[in-house]
Amino acid sequence: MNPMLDKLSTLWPEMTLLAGACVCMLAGLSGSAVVRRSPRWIAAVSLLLAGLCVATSSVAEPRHTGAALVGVAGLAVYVKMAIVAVGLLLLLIASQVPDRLRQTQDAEAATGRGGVFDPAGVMRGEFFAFFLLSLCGAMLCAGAEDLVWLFLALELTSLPTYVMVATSRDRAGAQESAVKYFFLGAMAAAVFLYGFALIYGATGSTQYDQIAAFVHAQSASGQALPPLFIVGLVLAVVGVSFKIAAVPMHFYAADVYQGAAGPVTAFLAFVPKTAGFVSLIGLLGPACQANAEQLQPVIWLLWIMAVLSMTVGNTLGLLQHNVKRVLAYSSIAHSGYMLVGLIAAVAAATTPGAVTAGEHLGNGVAALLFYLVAYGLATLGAFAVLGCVTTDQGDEAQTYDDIAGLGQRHPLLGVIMLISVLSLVGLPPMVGFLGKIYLFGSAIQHGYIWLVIIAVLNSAISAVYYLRIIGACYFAKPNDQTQVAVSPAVQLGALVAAVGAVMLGVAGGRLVDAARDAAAPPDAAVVETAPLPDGDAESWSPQWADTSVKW
Amino acid sequence: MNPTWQLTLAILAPVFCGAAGMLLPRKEVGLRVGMSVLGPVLAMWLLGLFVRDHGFEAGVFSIAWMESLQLNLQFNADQLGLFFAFLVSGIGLLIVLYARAYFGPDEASLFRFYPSLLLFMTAMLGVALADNFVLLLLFWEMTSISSFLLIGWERDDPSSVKKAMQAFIVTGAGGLAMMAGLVLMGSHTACWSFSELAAAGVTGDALTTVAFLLIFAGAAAKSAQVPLHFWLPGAMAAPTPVSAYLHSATMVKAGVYLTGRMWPIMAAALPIWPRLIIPLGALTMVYGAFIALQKTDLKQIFAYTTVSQLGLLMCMYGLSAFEYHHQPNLVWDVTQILNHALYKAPLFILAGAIGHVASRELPELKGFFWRGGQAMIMSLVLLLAAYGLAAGPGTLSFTAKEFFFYQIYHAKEAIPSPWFWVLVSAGVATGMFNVAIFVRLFRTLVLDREPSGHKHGHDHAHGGGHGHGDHGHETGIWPAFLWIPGLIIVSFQFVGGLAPGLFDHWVLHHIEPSRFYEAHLPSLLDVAAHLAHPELPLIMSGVAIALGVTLGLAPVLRGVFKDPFDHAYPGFYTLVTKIVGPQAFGFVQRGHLGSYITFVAVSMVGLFFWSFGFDLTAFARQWPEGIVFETDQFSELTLGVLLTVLVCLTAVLLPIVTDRASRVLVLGTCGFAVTAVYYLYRAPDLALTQISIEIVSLILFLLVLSLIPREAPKARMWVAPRVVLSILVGGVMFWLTLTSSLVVRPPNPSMAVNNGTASTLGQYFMRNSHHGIDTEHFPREQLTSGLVDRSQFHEGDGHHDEASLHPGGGGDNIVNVILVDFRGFDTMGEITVLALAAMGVWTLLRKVPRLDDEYCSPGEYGNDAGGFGDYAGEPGGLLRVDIPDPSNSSGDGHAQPAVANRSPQS
Repeated sequence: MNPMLDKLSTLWPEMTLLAGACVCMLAGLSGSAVVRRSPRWIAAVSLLLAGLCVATSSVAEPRHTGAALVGVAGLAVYVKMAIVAVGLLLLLIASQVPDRLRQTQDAEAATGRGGVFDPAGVMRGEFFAFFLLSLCGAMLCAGAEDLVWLFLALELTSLPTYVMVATSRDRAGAQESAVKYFFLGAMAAAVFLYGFALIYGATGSTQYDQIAAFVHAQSASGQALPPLFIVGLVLAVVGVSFKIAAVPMHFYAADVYQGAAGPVTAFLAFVPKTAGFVSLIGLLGPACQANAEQLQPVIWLLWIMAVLSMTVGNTLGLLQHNVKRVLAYSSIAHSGYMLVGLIAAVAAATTPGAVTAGEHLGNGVAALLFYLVAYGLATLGAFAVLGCVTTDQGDEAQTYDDIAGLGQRHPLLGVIMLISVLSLVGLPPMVGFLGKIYLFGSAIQHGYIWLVIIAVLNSAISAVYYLRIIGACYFAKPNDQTQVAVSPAVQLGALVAAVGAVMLGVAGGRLVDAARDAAAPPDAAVVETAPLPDGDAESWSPQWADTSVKW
Repeated sequence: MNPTWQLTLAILAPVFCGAAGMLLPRKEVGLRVGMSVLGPVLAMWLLGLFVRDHGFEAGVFSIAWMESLQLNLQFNADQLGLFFAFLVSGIGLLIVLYARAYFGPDEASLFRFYPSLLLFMTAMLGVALADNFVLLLLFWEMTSISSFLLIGWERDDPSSVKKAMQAFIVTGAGGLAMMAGLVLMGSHTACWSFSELAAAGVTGDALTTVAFLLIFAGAAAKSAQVPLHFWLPGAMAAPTPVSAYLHSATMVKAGVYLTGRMWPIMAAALPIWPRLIIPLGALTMVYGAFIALQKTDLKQIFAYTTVSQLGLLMCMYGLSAFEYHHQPNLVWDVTQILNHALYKAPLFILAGAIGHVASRELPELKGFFWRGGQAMIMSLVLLLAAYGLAAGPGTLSFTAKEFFFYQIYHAKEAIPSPWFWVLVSAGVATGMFNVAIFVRLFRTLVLDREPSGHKHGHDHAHGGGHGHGDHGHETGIWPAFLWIPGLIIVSFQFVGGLAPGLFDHWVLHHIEPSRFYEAHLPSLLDVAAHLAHPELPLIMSGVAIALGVTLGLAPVLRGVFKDPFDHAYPGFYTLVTKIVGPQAFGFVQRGHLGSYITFVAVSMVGLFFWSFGFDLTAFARQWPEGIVFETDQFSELTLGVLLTVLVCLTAVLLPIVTDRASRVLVLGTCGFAVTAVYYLYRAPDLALTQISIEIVSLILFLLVLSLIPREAPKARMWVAPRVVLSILVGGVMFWLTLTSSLVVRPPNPSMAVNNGTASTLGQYFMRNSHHGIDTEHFPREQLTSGLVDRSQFHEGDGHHDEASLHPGGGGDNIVNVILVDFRGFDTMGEITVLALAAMGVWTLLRKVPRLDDEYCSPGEYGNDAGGFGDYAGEPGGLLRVDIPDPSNSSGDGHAQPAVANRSPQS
């Protein structure tokens, strides 16, 4: 069949979301109050439909095998499924955001008094349309096989979020954070676009498989990779790291997370991060045709980014008294942890003979994919709870004092917060515990012992500020300066996230397997021929004996 | 029943009962106690059934759980594990009863307390029985969580919460180190459980040592080894039932237990084992006992003696690395662990009980024995337990201490002489301090009979009170349970000490079948025989007792020496959050967009040099032989150069001019100059697009500027560095652009795009468009009239050869061809976007919205929105960030942020 049609046939979920977004946008402007309030339902329906499309999509083998770190189709299905699932929860907790704006309330009130409805005052349509568009972009990132495609997908993920941040709260802070977010985002986009251009210049193609072929040819003939390619890759990785809020592109995170409404912040913490990591997996895939020696600059770059992200994130998180900023820095730190998995994956792919199948904790990509979901659930719960607490000034809860005694004032929210935070620390039986074992295990498997030790030290530092959140919720006198108001939708969304965090921690086998399958190498034959450790008694001894200790 | 499920149920029984208890109505105190008692009872019953069926050496039972994460329900029900499990559930049962007496019939407290306690019990049972590494970690961290909840009991007391956090941070950080260690051990040896590891054996290579060190760090943190011990005295902020449970028999023993699990596997293989553990344990043992002597608060005294005893246990496992007469120096040595639980739990229980009715401060307890009521029996039980602490003859403790001294004695050959005697002195000193503590307790409680004028220091004793003051003096059976659990536990001390044969038959024989032990049994446990043939260990005991009594009576070393580690954690915390943190990181996150952009630009330039730093010469090789201007028209070149200079000039001017409007005009100049360049190089359509965009964006700028308030001019900071940075960024971009367009790629046959002779992108485009075609072969008329079959130009078909090299596009102009043929969809998209933007501008021009403050709380963006033309000043970064060219990185004057990095607070 026509390759174009082939490709299009894998895009039903995205097209569904796109259509949903258009309908939302129109419905939000309707003169009828009932239709005007429908965008959240439209968004929910289109998300469900998209999920159905993903679930029923035949996982066709991608055209180009051997090009990527992982098979594109499997990865795409996993990521799209995760986006749909977490997206539905995000929609639940964000369903009230536009209604809480004073513009909306005033516009509706004016209509109720018999005045003329002012469509400009109501943001519902735009908000949910942008919500869907951003999810659509993240899904497109997962299916990208081309740099240009990737660029468009990444921007489609990010651009709507700028608007969502600006319109999520009627506070100057929201707009300021949106402005910062936009400028830094545009700059990051310029950086990675430049990187893409250089990669194109060096390899002559924007398609992953052709880039991979080029790198493979270079590597096979023993030539060094062109410096231009390395610079391009470095710039691309650094630019994309804006989406995952890793150092040195992390600056926006704290300011933006603080400025945006809680549900939108949860959105920012999950959707662009997922898109960014999936893009990184895709970008690094072709480069991994080279050997580890040739990729040294990139591997070191990732290493430094991981260490700095963890350390900067956790240290700055320690210094905050604003819980949203704390969670923002924790988001930076978690990107650092996930980069550890990515490094393991790159190390595995570039080291001949290393086992990449996920059976022995070895697969960094699988660990990363698993952790993305783990992190998404936990952070969603935490921000949802924060969004439920308002101060006397009508502002969202920000400081530790604002959430003081939440456990007593609203036990359910308290428990959700507790579970979310414990999962973020990585304590059992929450899913974060398994996620961390998986991530760090994959890095250790490839000899990155010091990296893991740094990561573990960082987890210990992070425990301090996470515990302060628990301490504020459970061990402090209830603060009567704040109100706790929970809508059923938010409660449901946060509760499902929290229950998910526990359930996946206790019985996450399915998700682990799914992540492992999603991260399976594109060509099954590769696994077969890889020297798997023998099962007999003599060879129990270090199957990784030649794995030297690396930083 | 499947033995694995049986063990799983035994582990989960307490937490299930705890959860069930939460469902009971709050008023039903009796039911709640019954339900909570059921937890440990069920656990013990299930364990008992298990032992009946499988014995004490049942081995490993496993059920797959999450195999790809190496997580299995795999239990190792050997003597050590089962012993611990019985100890945890047995003492747990008594603590449940004690807690009822301690809290009184206070529904709220019990409602909170029992579930937390039972959760902890489950976690601890899990630690004791888990064989799989990940499963062990899971339970291990659960003990940290539940102990955090228990220690931070007094939630209205900030200092108590801080102490709980301190305990959690230290033990939790240790747990994380252990996680790294266990995962490393697992991936290095491919064994994911202790039993597999034991079967496979370990070699003393570097990775195993690193893994061991990490695991041991976790164990040492949990078992309060110096210098990480400070969390344990701090954890005395917990209510006494918690201290009696966690800090005597269970949680702090987890580290010791883990070391015990490891020693048969690693002690002999790793040279570092004795060298690390013996000195650390010995130091902890002496230090803890020494500080304990200085304290006056009962719980603090017992906390520090616990530290001391934990050091002793660690030291003992360190000594287990040596052999004595070809026998291991040690089998599990549960005697020592059991002994400690059997005197320390009663000590804590009674400390709480006495604090409950009087005070925990020694000076206020003078003559407490004679105060009547329950004072006499409480003092008695306390002193019995303290006698155990002193390892007086006739207790199990005495036997255990003799064991320890024997171990030291047996290591005589293995340890170099001076160090051996240091170790002997450490053992004696520890014994001496413990005896002295007993003597002082005895003297205070019994011999000092002067009336202290003491009124009930009840409230004081509870440090903030947990709200049971009103019903603290209830009647009935429950008050007696303040001391009954203690009495029950301590009685085993004397059974073990006075009837060693009986004790051995019923207890030790099952769990510690040491050939060494049994060979020595007659002489070792029989005091009379022992006295007749004194060896060094007995002499050590004697010396310790004699010196201890003297020291106890002497008025020295009382409250003189404070533990400097008390300030370790608060000091560290203050250092990080108040001093170092803000200093080091405050400048990074200022909430200022300009500084963020500066950082990004710096890191980008840095990365460029860094990624070439690996091979700078390679870059030089990329540089082509010479840059040739392929034009024969001098005017084209001159004009081009002039326009380029103009573009560069605008870039330089942009940061220099300060007025917003001027900047917009400068930008416009830049845009129009670029348009002219396009036109010059025969791209009129692109020029048209560009000029439209320029006009639209200029209008948009002016519109926006009319809406944002005037900006006061600000002084420029850091001018020179900014200039340097700008030049660097510009230089890097210039270099990269030039190189990427000129790069000569090595031929790569696999790429369709590269067949033919085109080796650069520019050449590719040129060759595939009319402009670059040799018109001798392809007359222009033929190409433009469409006579040439376009299909043969399709890239990638691979059929055309050098002679038939044909243009891919039929147009006459390279830019046109690229735009229309190669990038037709792009162009359509561009046109669409442009049209949309124009419509937007048109709408805006029709109705200029006013950015008033209706929906914005007055922020730093100001509120004096001006009309058209009322713009002045300009937020540098706000203008345009297409690519980070120098003009952007040096922009300044962004409004002061409303969202700034908050100053830290404690």
